[in-house]
Amino acid sequence: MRGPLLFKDIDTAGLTSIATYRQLGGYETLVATLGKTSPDECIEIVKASGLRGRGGAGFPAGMKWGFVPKDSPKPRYLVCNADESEPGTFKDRELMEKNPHLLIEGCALAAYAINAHVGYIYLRGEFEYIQRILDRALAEARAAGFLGRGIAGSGFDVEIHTHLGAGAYICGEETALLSSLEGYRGQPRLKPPFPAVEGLYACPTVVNNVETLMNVPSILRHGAAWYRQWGTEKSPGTKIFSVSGPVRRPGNYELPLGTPLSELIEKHCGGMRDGLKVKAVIPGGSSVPLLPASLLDTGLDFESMTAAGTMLGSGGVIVIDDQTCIVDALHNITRFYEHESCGKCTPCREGTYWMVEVFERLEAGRGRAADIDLLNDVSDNILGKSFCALGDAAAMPVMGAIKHFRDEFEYHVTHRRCMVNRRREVLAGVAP
Amino acid sequence: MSATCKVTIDGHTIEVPAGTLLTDAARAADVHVPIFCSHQKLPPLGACRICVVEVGLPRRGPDGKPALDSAGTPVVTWMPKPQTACTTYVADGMQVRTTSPEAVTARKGVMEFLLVNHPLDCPVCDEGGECQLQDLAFAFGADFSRMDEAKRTFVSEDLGPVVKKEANRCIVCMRCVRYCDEIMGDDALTAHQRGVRTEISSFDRQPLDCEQCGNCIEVCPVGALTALPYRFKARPWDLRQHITVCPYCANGCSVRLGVRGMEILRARGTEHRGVNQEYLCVRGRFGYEFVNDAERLSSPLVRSGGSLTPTGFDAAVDFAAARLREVAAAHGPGAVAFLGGEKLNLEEAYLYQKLARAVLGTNHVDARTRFTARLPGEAVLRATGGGRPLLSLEDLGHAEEVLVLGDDLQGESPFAQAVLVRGQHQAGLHLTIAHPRRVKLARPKFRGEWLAYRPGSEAALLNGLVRAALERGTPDGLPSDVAAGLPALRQAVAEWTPARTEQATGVPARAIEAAAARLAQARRRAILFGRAFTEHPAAADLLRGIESLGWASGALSAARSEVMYIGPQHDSQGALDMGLVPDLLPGYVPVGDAAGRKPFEQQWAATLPAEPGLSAPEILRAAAEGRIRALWIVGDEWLRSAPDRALAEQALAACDLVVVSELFLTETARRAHVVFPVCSFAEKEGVVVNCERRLQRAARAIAPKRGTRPDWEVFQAVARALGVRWSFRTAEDVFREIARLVPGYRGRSWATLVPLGPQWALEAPAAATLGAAREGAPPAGEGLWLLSGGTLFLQGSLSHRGRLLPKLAKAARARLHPAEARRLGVAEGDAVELAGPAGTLRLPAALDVEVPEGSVFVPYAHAEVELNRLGAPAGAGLKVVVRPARVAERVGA
Amino acid sequence: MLKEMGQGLGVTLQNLFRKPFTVLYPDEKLQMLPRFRGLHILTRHEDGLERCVGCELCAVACPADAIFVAAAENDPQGPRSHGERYAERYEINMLRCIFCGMCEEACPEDAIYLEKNYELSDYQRDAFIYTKDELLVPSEKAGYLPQR
Repeated sequence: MRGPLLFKDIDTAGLTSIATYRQLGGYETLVATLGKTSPDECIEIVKASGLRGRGGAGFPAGMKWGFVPKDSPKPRYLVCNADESEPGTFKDRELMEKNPHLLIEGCALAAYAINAHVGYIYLRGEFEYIQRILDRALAEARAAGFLGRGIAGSGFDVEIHTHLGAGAYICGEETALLSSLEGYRGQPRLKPPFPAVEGLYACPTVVNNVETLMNVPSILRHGAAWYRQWGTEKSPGTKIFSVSGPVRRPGNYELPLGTPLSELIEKHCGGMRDGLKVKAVIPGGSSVPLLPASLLDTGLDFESMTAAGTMLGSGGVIVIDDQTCIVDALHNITRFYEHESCGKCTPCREGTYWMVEVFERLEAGRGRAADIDLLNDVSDNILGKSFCALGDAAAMPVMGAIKHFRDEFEYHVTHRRCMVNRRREVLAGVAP
Repeated sequence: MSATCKVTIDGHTIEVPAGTLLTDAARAADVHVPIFCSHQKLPPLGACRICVVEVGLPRRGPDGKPALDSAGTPVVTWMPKPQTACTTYVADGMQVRTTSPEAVTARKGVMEFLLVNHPLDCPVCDEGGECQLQDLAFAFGADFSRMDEAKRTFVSEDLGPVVKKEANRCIVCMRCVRYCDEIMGDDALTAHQRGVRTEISSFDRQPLDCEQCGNCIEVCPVGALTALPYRFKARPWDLRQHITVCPYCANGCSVRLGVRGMEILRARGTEHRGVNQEYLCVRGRFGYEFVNDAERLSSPLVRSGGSLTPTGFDAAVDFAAARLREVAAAHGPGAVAFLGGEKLNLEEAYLYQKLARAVLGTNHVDARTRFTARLPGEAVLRATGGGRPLLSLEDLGHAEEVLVLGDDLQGESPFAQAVLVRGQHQAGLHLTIAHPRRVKLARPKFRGEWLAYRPGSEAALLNGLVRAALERGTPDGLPSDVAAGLPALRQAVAEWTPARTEQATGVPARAIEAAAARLAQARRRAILFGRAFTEHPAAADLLRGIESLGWASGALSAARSEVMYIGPQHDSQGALDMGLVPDLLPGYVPVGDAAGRKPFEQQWAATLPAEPGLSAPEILRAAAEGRIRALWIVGDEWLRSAPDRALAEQALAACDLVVVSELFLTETARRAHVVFPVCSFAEKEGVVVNCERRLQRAARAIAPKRGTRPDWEVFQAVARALGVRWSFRTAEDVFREIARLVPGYRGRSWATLVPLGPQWALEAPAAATLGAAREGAPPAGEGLWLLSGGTLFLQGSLSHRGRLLPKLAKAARARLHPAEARRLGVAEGDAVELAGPAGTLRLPAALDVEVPEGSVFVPYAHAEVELNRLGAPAGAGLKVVVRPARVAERVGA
Repeated sequence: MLKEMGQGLGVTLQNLFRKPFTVLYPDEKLQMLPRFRGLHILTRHEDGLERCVGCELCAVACPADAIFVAAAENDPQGPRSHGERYAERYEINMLRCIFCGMCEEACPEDAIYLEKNYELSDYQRDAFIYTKDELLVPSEKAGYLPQR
């Protein structure tokens, strides 16, 4: 048993088949809820459970469901965000790969709660093989009467489709995802109107992360109080953390929210390998500021992370060792954002390009003393001025890195090389 | 929510309607907030971020009232991040700072970002001098660049003959892409790639497949899209700008002509001005070329010894006057006729008919030379509500349901089409397009309903729609005469059940019922019709049908009219208003109405003929038969526009005197006895009246080309030579007489007609004439229905004079449905021969699924197409036999 | 009286043997100062192409409205200047020119300079409209920029 909730049965052989899933109690919640608990009651239970979105922003899921207007004559849609594009995050992949039916059950329950009859699972372009797994599972569920007309013996109809994106990071942003799903260019839309009011095809839409939806069946089954046995008051429940970097056992770990970061690294991941020390940790996917080693005791929950100057984000924990050059690491991250900037707004489109140019100068040993402040200033000019959070995601790590590791940047300028020797190519096992 | 909000912007408090965007509120408060991606006709995007401002809202106490601090002023909570003014809607008590350090820093940051990849090629760029980025960089930017690395580069492209793209300069505001999609309905532009590599281009990087309107160039705030025809021609400060009215279609768009020296170098729209604002269609933007044409006539010509020889103006006037006097003396005033005039300004049209009626004493006046049958002058007026206040083009965009009857707006009225596309895209307007061809607006993309009636079944369609509309009940607000006539109308159309209409028209019964229901139920609606109905052989019947439909569906009411007539020329409406029809004096006063005639007779000091004159098709016949001996043709290539070419040739040959007022030595002018060279639209001033019946004063942009003068001066000179004492010094003098005399125009002041004058309406609307439309007899003979129309690029007789428009239009093709072509054994590009009752025409064929089977579409405005050689349409139209040219040759041999 | 006369003649005598200030123009010509502003030249790049791109900034900067420029697009096969645009017509009306040098200051391409030639006289007013042929330096002077 790798975790108390989502990872409880995750490694059971043959879990992708509906038979195994049902043996372990699968779809029982669906049968027990539909037609017996009213949609409003479902929303209330999820609200009471304090379940917060697991995609990164941590918005309370029940509240989001509650925003869907009850009197709208338009159809409603449920969209599962399975784009999982945040670098360092690979939890949804394992969840969907190994337990697709739990997602389907979660989707069906969420659709019931918001009275949507159509749901879409939006997968990133690279998840083609997961689409096959999901499609097979959807077919099984349909055959077993858990999807389609009058599911699970109730009068409720729901159909769920998978949709493959074209592999853009921005399509993890919910409005860009909806644009992409509609067949348009994947670019974020103006909010308000929020998707709950005007989302897919300008109809009320709820967009939830895979992990969020997978929590729904057990919450509806066991109740809010039961769910709150894990985690903290404001961040209840468990969360899956995807740990990467030079730790002994990288991988996905399901832990109650609030678990200290040091416990995750030392106890669960077995500490650092090759005698390396932790220099910094990016705790929530590449778009959050990094946490220096001195703050490793911070609890992994939304509030503590914000207090420490970073964010819990998607739970993609990237451990950076003391032999990794911070300038190089940030160059890598910035290149990613430059490549993935959708180009809609000026600060993100032009700012990330400029940052990469400055980073390249620093890396090539042509850096100038003014470059560090320039980088900070460019980031500051992006921060809060971009259309969506992508710009902030590109700016915050750089500003955080300059704040905590200014000496490494200065070393690059004065010595025209890295302060530490190991570059990412070595780390990745690729010749430099 | 209150209807208005108080907003304080940089200390200026203003009250604006709720739902106003901050950018608009700032404009109202006279505070400059820069914009790039925001555009008045497009929904907010918030992409460029240049309009960032600081926004604060009053903090509300627990009672919902604004909290006050100890000094009694409201406490303001400032938003943590700067907000984009172009996406923020005002709220009551909102505070905005545009010059605070935070706002200025943010704006400077965005400006710096915009310049990161923007090249420093302003000296070469055509936008230089009128570039918004240049202006804002000057106003807000730094004077040096912190970015000194290589900029990303693209290769420049020509996107067809109109648009030059220099993507390096692009700031990705997406205005062009959105304008093309949401207003033009063309979707020709798209963004390739993403991020900093985003590049605007066509989908396949091939030349743009679109209307070539160039509006993308107009809305581009930088020099990323520039106009190839204007490339490097001038800098903006070289140009004198003159705003005048476009001479092409009846929409009456304002065009801003840029003139350097004596030459017009470009035409543009004007933001916040005119009915069209910045919009121009391809003809409006590039169709001015004929003005600069070297082949323009520069001297009056008089026939002597079989050839036309240049003479002085006075000699030509004397010649014309003497001959007119001779003809009138020998054969009576009824032997003189006046044709054309839809391209004249209002004042000129007025003087033209005054010359005919008051000086020569004839009512043989008709501007509508294309008509194939007589149509009462009042028919159009009655179909559009008898002179009641008419909806405007702007109102058209706010309608819920719009029915377009038989008109291809793309060719005939591009701006109205753009208004409809925008309404459809942004405001949920529904389109019903009744047209045998699948015209642009009938394409599925616009989600309307296409009533694809069979050619010749127009009357049946109207009757079916009237019946279906009446089934929905009696509309409110009918005048008493209409209300009294409704039972009879109900009776008259009773037989036109949806099923019967379906049988007659081929339009599904369900679609007819639904269209009528939508029209009757809409709160705001519009019916548009144009030349396809007015130039129909059965036009008198069809127009009565349109009028009946207007009353039956509620589009016409005692207070207002929602039925609009799209005339063929920019001043068709003005010509009609000024009485360039045989049976009406100016202001729709019947010539037989003695009391109505009186003021005119007093003012003009003449006795006016009381008998209605001959209409254009009747004049054609009378002249060919020698009953009309003298003809004056104004601004009309009659040999091409008259319904029957052979008859027109005969008429011109038979006349003792043919006077032609023209810009060019046209085929018609070549057969004249006197030719007066006249000014183009850009060289004279005067009032024109567009399809909304709006009066606009068009300004003079350039001096008249050497040897030319305005038409009204020619009319006055001839009138004076005939012995009357006219003494108008300017067009304004003429307008003053109109404003004294003509109903609907009384009391109008020349000064108030710029930039946008009022829409006129009659104090006493004309009485309605309800009734069913009679079906014309199908034309005799075998063959395909001949469908014709203007195309987007060529319309009328001037557009083919330039270089660009004929190039865009390509050669004329006879368009056939692929199935029809297969039956005929014709492949794409094969030469086909069209044989009508009077003659033949040879054209290459084009396969087009948008043309219905059983018909052939031929554009009429190409120089090489002389449709009237085929013979005049009669009954309900014209049929032509189409066959491959090879076979035709063999048969002929 | 005599004293004053002697003083006056003394001055005359003194100057009689001084080298005169005047020069025997046109046989002799003065060396102009480096910042003297005479007739304009249009310069060339090292590769012989014209520096002027026809942007008309000189024309708009000119307070006397003496400059007329009409630009055209370069033939990519035989370009006249760097880039896409060149001045097809470039004319200065020297009767209007006030030799202020604003055109030189406005030029973003270092294409126009006021040089040392001050011998501007003719019999026809038309001749004072200097055309591009007269202003453009010969190909031998490609790359030449006056020192300022």
